[in-house]
Amino acid sequence: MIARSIGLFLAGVLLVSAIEHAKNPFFFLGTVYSYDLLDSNFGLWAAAILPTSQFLLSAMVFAQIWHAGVALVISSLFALFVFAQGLALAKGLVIPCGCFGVESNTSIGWQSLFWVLSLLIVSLFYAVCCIYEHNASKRCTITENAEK
Amino acid sequence: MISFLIALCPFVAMLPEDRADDVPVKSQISSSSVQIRSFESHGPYCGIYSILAAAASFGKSVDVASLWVPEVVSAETGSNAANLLYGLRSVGLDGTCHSGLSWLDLTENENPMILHYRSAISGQEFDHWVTLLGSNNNGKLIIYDPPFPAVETEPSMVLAKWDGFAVEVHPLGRPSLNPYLWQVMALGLFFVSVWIFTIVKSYVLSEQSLLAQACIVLVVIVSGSVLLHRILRIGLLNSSISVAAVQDRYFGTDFKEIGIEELDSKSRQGVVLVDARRATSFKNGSIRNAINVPVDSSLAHREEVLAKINRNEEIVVFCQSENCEYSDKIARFLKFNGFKKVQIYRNGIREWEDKKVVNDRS
Repeated sequence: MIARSIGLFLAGVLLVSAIEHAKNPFFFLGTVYSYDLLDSNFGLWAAAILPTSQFLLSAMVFAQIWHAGVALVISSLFALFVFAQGLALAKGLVIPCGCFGVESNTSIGWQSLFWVLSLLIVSLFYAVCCIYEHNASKRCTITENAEK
Repeated sequence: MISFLIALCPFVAMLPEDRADDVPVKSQISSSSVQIRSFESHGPYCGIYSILAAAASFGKSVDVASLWVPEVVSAETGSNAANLLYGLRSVGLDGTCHSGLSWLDLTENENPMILHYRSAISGQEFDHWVTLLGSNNNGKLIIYDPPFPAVETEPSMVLAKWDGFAVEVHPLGRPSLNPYLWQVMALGLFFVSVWIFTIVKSYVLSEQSLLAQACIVLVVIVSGSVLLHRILRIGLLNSSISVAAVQDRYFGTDFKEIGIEELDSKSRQGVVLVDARRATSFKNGSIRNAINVPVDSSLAHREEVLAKINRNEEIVVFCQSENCEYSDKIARFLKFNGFKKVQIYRNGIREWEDKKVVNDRS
């Protein structure tokens, strides 16, 4: 129940972020480039894939499909965000976080890093719960099959 | 409504020239804080031009002098949103400010909108106003950005220069833009996606390994992204010129630059020479055997010209002189489209002409 609630919370965060980013894909492309992490081609692919992935992951959480795999990918996504923000902070870049689209004017700083780090921790907890649940249901299926 | 706006375009396009005689000189402006630098749109008067264009689209005749007041142009850098609202009310219209708008709002709104824009495609700041007069039947947006005439522009090109803020111009008390249109559409799409995944769920096996699940999820995500950005007109994989414009802003020129001697020898070896200047300049003369890919050319024209060139061939791009940015833009466009050996002849046609090696095409 707790894991389910956490999953819905994470899905909500991802959905809001995806909707904001998809408003103007070119603005988001600029945000990705401003992190100074990827070259022009990889940056383009990241800008194309990230909002769609947030949207689809969110829908998958709501539909409860492939939940262990989805939880793992969500955790990886937040780990990626932590890495990107940490590196930008270490480089001393004064750039908008761009976490929630055009209107999020928060610059990258300890506050935004703390926020995304918190989300990473929550998503890791969610992933652990989902993987545990996944393994447990697999064990059940194996036992059921053996009993038959 | 759209056809009405299109019909108005030629008139709107004539506004700056028509009104140039009416424009007061500096001494006639009451505030000393307002300094006239030029009558270019990229100066401080883009706000006034935008109000004029919006008023013209409603068939209103405006006394330009009434807009040359500090309440409409409050700073040396130009007008802010509050200034625009004041100006619109002074001409008998009204405006509503919207931030965080989406591409859908641009294409679906019926009223003209004054968009907060970048003055230069590679500029870092949003420091300019242009007027969106509507969209045509092909889905192109009609943008009026004086001193240029109103032009039909791809929505992606507008998105590449816009920060999502706009002043919707409408008759008093009658805004038409629904600021929640995007959210409603996105949520609708979301629930459809959830429904599809719920159906898919009943057909997939639940005993897949964790790794298999993660791989399936990644495949769904990547293929969904590619499909979406290929289908949508404003998709990143569908709008190479707009993408190149954004890339131009964030990446410095990292092309190899060559001098005139090297260019001379390369041109004799049959290296592809690309003149990035506008077509009219190219017709007046260029380097021998050069082809023209004008900086203002359409994607279709560029594709037609570049279709004959092998992507592994050496290409040298040039424009007018070392201060000209066209060669960087075209070089970046070429690089983005897979041309691997792109170089720039920085000093351009001016140095080439000085050496008297121009093949006069006229």
